[in-house]
Amino acid sequence: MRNLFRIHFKRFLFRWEAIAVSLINIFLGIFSAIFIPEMYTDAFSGSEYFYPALYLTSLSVTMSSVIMMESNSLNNGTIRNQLIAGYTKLQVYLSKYITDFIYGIMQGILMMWMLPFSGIADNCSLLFAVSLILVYGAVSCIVMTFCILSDRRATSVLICIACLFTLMLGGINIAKRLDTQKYIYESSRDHETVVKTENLFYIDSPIRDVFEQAVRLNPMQPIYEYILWYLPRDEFYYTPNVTRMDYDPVYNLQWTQIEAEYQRHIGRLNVFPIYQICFIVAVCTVGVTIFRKRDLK
Amino acid sequence: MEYVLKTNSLCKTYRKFSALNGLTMNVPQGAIYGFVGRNGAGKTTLIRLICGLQDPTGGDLTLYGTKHTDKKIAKARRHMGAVVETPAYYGDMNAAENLKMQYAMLGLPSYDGIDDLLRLVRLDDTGKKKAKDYSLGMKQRLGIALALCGNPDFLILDEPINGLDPQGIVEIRELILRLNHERDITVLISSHILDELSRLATHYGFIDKGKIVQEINAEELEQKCRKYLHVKVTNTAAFAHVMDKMGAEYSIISDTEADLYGEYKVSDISAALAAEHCELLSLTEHEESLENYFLNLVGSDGGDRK
Repeated sequence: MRNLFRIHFKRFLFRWEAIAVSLINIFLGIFSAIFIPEMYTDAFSGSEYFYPALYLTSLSVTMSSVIMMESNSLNNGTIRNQLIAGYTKLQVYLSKYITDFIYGIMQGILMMWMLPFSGIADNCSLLFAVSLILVYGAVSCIVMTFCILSDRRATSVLICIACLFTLMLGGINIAKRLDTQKYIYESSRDHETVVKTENLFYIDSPIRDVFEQAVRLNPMQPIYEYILWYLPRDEFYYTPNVTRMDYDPVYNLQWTQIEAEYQRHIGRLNVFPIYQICFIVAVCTVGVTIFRKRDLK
Repeated sequence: MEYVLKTNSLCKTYRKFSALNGLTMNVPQGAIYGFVGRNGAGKTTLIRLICGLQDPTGGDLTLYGTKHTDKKIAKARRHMGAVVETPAYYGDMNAAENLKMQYAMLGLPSYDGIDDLLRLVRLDDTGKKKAKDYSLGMKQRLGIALALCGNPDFLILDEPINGLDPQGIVEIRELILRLNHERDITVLISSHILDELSRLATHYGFIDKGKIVQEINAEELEQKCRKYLHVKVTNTAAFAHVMDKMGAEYSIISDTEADLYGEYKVSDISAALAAEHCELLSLTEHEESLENYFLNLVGSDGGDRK
């Protein structure tokens, strides 16, 4: 199997497509590290979405390159030669899967290695940074699985892209649902008492627990969490007005909830890498099972 | 006799369609086994099962004494090379680079022998030309060269001469004969171009509707391909009357022509016809072609010729 890895690495990593994508990711990484910190001065400008846009661009380029290179390798039938040479379907699939995963991770590192020097997301923990890079690996693995298992490549690629968007948008919606607070606090007219009413949009357990797990399992979730929790915003949003906390009980309670929510998110962010790796292993297991039963031509 | 490949009631079903229906065949070591069948008979399906691209739905397959269900079958497949349907190669590489890639995949310690292989398949003068720019014949030869990497004992070629020009066909034929005679490689060739196969094969397996109709070696086939006399007479009605009296097997082609099967003395036929006032105008000897043999075989229940 070592020989198969060698072949796949050579065919994958030294192709012009891989080199071009690597250069694009290096450029995006350097560009974002140098120019984006200058843009995060005004919280009302909307510029905080620029880095995520670059991140998603980099992810899309990486995904496209995997599709191109895997489709090429499957169209020319050389996978047949590997089976005829005596390798099992498990070995062939695993070698491709791991190669694509490593390729994705490489592209993630090339895109994000400049972040520590940029000042963006200074509070970002190492584990969460790993999870952002693992997004690249997860996307490469999902795309490779779709490419290798389907006869109708173009259709399967479109389905794959749709699935990734669904994961991302679905994850955003579920996270927002989870962030909905149980109580709405309003102050009375005299600002002396707090009126607490139940929030009708609050989701109770056990569905809440299911949503929580779904968010953790979603391999695209780190992207949304990164936008929401790690990108620098003006201090107006993240630092409470201490004076106001004394006289406005509603404001005080709301900030308590924001802090609790922040802690919950931070706690969740650090376990993302574990769930992402579980997701990648699960996709591999399903992919291998289907691939072994497939009738190849 | 040792057999490289043996199948026993091999079946392969795709949803409701049975591509192979209890196929039993044996490929002797050192043979050039011609696998003959119509389009859709199951030739390529069998080759895919041998190569491990697909799994049978019934029966078993033994390669070098190892069953397909055995974990060691992957190791047994290392003794074989195959070109299934179309040759598989890296189009962005030239012939030598493709072979180097194949050597690396097989884990061979060095690239010794690549030049010999290229010379053997007559691709040693292609230089840096990319494989995607090769002619069909060159691609076929590259596919065979890739299959020969690792010095296999058993070579499977799925319709290797399809789409080739006459020179290409001759080149492939000579290559296969050279491989069999010089390197003692057992070759399984599937084809529906019978004339070409008749110049190559030492053994034949006739397949129809997913089953082997007959397995036969070249000598037996030659004997079975019947000789017949093509006669021109003045009156085939009289000819038929005479042949019926003699108990001979014949077929009337036209008012003046007929085919007479079996061995007869010309003088006896001439005398018998003369007695019925029928003149023998001409008489020529013919041998049944492999094509006719095959058509008669699959056209019948398969039990007439044994």
